Amino acid sequence: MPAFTKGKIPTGRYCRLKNNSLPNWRIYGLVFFILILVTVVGLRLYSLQILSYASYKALAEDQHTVFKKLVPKRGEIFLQEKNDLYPLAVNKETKMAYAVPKEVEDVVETAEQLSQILHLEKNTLLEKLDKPDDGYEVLKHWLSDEEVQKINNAKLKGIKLSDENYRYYPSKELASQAVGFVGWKDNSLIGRYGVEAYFEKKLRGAEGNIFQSRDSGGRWIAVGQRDIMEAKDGDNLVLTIDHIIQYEAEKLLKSAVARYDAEGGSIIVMEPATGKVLSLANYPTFDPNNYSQVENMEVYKNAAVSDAYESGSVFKTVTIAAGLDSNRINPDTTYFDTGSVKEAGYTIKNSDFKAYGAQTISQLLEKSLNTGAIFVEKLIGNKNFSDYVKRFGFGEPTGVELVGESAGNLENLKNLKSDIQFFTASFGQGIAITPIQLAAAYNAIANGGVLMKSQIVEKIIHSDNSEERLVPQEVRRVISERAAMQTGNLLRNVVTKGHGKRADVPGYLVVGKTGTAQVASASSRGYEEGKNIGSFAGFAPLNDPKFTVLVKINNPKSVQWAESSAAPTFGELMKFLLEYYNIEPTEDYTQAELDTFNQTHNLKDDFVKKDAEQIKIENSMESDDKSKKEKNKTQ
Amino acid sequence: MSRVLIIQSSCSWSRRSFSGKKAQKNKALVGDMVFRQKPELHGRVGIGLVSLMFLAIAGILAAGFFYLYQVNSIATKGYELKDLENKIQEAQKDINKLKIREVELKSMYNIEKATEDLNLITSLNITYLDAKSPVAMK
Repeated sequence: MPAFTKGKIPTGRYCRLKNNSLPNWRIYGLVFFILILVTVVGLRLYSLQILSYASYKALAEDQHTVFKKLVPKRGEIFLQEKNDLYPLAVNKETKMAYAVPKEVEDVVETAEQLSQILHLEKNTLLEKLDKPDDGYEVLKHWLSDEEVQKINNAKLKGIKLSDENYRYYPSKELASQAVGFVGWKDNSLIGRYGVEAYFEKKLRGAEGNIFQSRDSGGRWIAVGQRDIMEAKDGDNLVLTIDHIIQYEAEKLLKSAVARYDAEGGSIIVMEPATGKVLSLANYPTFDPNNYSQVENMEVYKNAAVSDAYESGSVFKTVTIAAGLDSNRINPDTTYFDTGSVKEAGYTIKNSDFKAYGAQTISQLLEKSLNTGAIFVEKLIGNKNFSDYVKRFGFGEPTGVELVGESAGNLENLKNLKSDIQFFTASFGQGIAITPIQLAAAYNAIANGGVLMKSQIVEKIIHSDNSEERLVPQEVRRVISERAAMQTGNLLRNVVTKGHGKRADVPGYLVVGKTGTAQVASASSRGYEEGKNIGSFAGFAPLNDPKFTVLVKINNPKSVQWAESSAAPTFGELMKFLLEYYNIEPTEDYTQAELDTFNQTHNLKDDFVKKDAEQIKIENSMESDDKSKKEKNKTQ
Repeated sequence: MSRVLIIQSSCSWSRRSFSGKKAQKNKALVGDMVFRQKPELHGRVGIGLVSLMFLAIAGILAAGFFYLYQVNSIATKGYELKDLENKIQEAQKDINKLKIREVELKSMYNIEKATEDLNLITSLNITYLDAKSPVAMK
């Protein structure tokens, strides 16, 4: 054991330990360095594991697990077709083309080829592809099968395809305003207008999600943690609208608008006993597959439920029904027509400016006398009349399952002392009603006096295939069965003797009433000069009503009165309906009467001819295109 | 006592009788060929530890090969299953496409065009038959 003794100089290693202070300094330096290192590492660990815990945990979880949203299938919409259903709105699977610009090798050549395949502007494609750092650019949605095949065959580097679904309407514009469309709103695709919007929640279904552990290669671990909340597909809707009736109504309406040089129109067909809407047609219309190409967004609206108008004489039926129900009049009641009524400084005249003297209630309707309607309203009384109007469902939405339904406007009936407002309302001016309210009111008269809720959805089929049938709802009894029967008989006289002759169908008891209404000015008080709306509302057969029909033609320029526009359109449609439902004629008729009817009710011919012409034009355009392409190829 | 028979290039031998230690020494030499009689086994056969080890290893190897085969087979089946699932999906897509095509063809617009092409006309006069009595009889 070595010893360090005083006065003796240690040698060897002991010498180095004692006398040289450098080694101590190194040790201290090393210790200090390690301490610093440990501190830095500690601080870094604190930062990673404590301060940034949440973000790194999320990052790690993202690497080790997968979380995906499960998108439900949107419910489809069907129309009725004899013993079958016809799909009106379906989900179509297709492809979307997108580019990964940083993978594209020859930008110009790729843009050139894509331009030919996808029919897109070459410059637009160049702009998208010429981004060397870009990783994703959408090129085109909803590719056709041909485009998909060409893209696959071209094998262009950096050009890829992905699956996508979209809402497809196979019948294009058929019932477009009733069904609506699926469009963008607030960065999400949702139902817009029609039943697509009204039943958005039911149609959309509920999103699900999946949480699954995965390995380092990104593959799912079969025995790992897995939580699945399955997506719930949307409900399917079956509408009350009949495919064939809707098509026929739209076809006739389109032809009527063209023939009478009108601005547009609406047709509603209802089932009297239930209030089910069998057809809801409007013109102009649009193709929901290309809704973005519409120039005037007004066409999205369903005018039959959202556009209130002053209906004119077609409303006299309501006044007469109220008079009969309140026992103020009976079918044989007479009044003296002087041709005009003076009230509050205004003079109200008959539409033909004639005076007919003593007239029965039936003649009042046949000739559509304004003075007669005022006579009946006076007998009923303002308060009573107002109540009847409301009981018929005017001034409130019918409850039909469509967005944007208008309640109409009965403001002018609020002041019970203002007789002039009630006088004009008695023949359908001064109050605004919607076509569907008017159809529902006629429906009530047709079925014996009960107002039925207007219904456009027959049943809802849930994703588990269970069905929820919508039962027709009785709103209220409006008039007695007797009054309804008497009103129906009076309306039959309108068709046989009055202005509604062209609405009659040989062999059947068709009833109804015309109405040629002035159009309220949008910019000033009073009415638009030279504008009118022609309506015809009625039902058939009178002894067992199967259909209530309203035809409304907006501002026809080639004819003046509804008896020449709406009435024949009504007659042609009613004949089709009666034959389509195999309803046997109850009345005798001659072949000559039938021939005359066919000659005077030929809107369908217009449509077929026009359609044929359109096809010829399209075919010639197609053949021109083909010959041009062939020329180009050969060149 | 043994008797050896040589026929051309082949040879065989037969034994008349052997017993006791002679059987162990029983040999016959013919040219370069040596024939030794198989010993007769009587009584219990003992299997040693080495044999057991060999058996175990052989068993493990067999099981390993079987496992590999099974795993490989399952993996192949998995691919086949995936392939079939893809085919089902493709078939389902085709069905949907055809359904939509069917709907398009059933559209009244298409039917109306077809009636034009076929020169069909609208029936304007419908006659209803009285079906109270039979309309067709044997």
